[in-house]
Amino acid sequence: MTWVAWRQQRASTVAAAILLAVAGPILLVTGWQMTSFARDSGLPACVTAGGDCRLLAEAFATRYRPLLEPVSLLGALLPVALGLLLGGPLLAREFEQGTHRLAWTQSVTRSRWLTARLAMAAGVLVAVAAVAAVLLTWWWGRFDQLGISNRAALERGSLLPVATALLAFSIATAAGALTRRVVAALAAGLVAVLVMTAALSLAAQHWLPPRPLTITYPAAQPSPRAGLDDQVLSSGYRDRGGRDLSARAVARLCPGAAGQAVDRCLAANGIQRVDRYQPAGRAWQLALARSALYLVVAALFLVLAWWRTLRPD
Amino acid sequence: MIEFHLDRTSGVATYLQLVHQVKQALRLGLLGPGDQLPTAKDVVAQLGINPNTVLKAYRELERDGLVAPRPGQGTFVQQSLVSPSLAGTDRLQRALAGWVHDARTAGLTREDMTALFDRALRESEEGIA
Amino acid sequence: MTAALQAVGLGKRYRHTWALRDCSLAIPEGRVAALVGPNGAGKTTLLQLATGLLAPSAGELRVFGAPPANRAEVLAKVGFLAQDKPLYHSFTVAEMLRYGARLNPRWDQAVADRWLERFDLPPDRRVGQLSGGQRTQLAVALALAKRPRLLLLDEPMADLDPLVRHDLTRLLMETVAAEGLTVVVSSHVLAELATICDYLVLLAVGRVQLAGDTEALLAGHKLLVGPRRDPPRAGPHQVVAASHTDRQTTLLVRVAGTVHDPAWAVHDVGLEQLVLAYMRHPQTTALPRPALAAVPPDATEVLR
Repeated sequence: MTWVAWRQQRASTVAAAILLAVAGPILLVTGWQMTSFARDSGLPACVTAGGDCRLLAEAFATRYRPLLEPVSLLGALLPVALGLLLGGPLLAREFEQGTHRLAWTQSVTRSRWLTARLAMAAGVLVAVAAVAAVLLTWWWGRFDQLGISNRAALERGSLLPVATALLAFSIATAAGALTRRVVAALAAGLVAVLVMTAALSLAAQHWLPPRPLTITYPAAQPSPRAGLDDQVLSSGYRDRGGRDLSARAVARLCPGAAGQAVDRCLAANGIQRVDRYQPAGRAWQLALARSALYLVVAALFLVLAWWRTLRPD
Repeated sequence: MIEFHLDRTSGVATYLQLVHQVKQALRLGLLGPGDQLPTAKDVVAQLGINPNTVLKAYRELERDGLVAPRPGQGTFVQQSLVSPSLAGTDRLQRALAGWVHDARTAGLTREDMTALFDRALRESEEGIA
Repeated sequence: MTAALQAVGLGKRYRHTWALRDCSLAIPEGRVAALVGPNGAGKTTLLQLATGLLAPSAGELRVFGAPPANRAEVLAKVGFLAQDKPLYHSFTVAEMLRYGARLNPRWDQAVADRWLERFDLPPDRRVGQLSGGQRTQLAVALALAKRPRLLLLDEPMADLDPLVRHDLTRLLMETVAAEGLTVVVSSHVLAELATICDYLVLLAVGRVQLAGDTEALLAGHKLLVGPRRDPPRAGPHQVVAASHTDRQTTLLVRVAGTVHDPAWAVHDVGLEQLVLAYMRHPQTTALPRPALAAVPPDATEVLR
């Protein structure tokens, strides 16, 4: 069964390799280019020195934002694409071509057949996703010490792209088992993966350990944790008595544009800011927790695919 | 060794066709005692019929005492159907050829001739002629 | 003797329609059975139920005495060729055979090789580049090299030209002769099966209309020709089909004993004639008695 599983896996492995061969250079070239520019402009030196680097950061952002966004999107979608590519056609193609009637009338049981196919596909996926993870980690790592806000920074742990890929794989496989058509499986799989990852990251952010920390500080002053690369999840206001205030209420209390006058007003009223945040040092923990969640959900989808496939019509 | 042929359109059961052909061969002296009949596998390989059909035909021939199976070797002819009187059939065959020629000249088709022959045969069997 | 394929009250429902309903039959081992019927009669459904690809909605099905379970040793006994001759188009011929070898412990490479040679199938050609006839030959080779005890073929001859058909039939019959294989072949054209089958199952709208040894079926039916008799009646013999001219009546009957009425001229019936007559009258049936305990003897049993 090993040879069979590999032989059937060959085409999608090649496709995944091609995808990496296309995405890889894009990430490598853009990553190198952007950080070179930033370094030449003196941005990292400025950030390390602790000065006001806003102008330099602005210059970088103006130059590279048009590139940064699509490439980060590519980076975020790469594991998803790999998972879909390897999972979507796995079962859907068998049904669509009718070859399941060949495969399940040989002398292997459906469960053995499915186990071998899934194991081979997942194995290949982990390998290519690991390569993607290394690429992505390197790419995001380029922006360390640049003082450039990067929400993904805290979530980038090298396990997460692999877990994301596996989640996409299992959703696509289940979609294939249910729709029995390759195009439908890929389309439904894509939508489901995007929805699922969004929902799961939201859930992870708010409910999954480690729970976010809270810090309270006077609204007129900068956060004592400024420059520490925290991932700030939400930022609210509290009045002197400890009651929550909406931003609008604060604006009514202390009207006007931000500046010294507003700061004095805020201080006078005893308004505080309340930030919920995850400190930078927790990055790997957060990534681990999120990955674990993805893997659990992936397992559920695989069970769905398994059940649907093993049950005769 | 004889070779069978199959007329799929004749309406006659396949196994009967095989039986007839063996008997015909026996009568014409093409098969004699000790000769081997084609194995079921050979017949099947050539004609593509059900092997049970061949076995059935051979069983019928065995029942008639004409052939007998030799375990592990095949089916062999036991008895000849060439009757001594067939020795003098050259004359009859020539007469028959002459009659066929005359019938054709008179414009009879194959079916006409066959019908005439069948009737003559039947009448003779029923003791009329 | 265990029946190779036995069904009692077998039924299969898709959503709201019954593709098969109350089917009972028992095909003895070593037979070449023809499964005939018009398109949509349920032939494919019956075959797929026997392989375990489908599960019955009602009744029971047994292959060599056991239900088609998803177990390796049971799967190894049955070879199947689906109507669309599924193969992996990106595989080469050699890879396709290797596939069979890896997935079937009873695989006989000699059979596969012999087949390749007889039909001149190039081992390095991709399946997708083979002609339809070649693909069928390869698919049958796969099913046979597996050394099953029961071979199920779903309309294997449909797209083949006469020469390929003949060659395939011959090779198939050779295998039957050599190994005592039981074969069930479905077709909606009886003519091509008439010389190879010794058992017949006729399906009509999901029900078994006729089932039994071809010999017994033919012995059990006669064509009666006589003076016009309308409505048609033939004593104790059941009338299957009747046709009338102003002077003459022709009846196809299922005989119960000898025909004594001197008014009738009695003729034998051909298999195709018989099947056509039943197909024109879907309400008439000649079913074997449903029983899993005993295989009916080599004759059709009439439920009368």
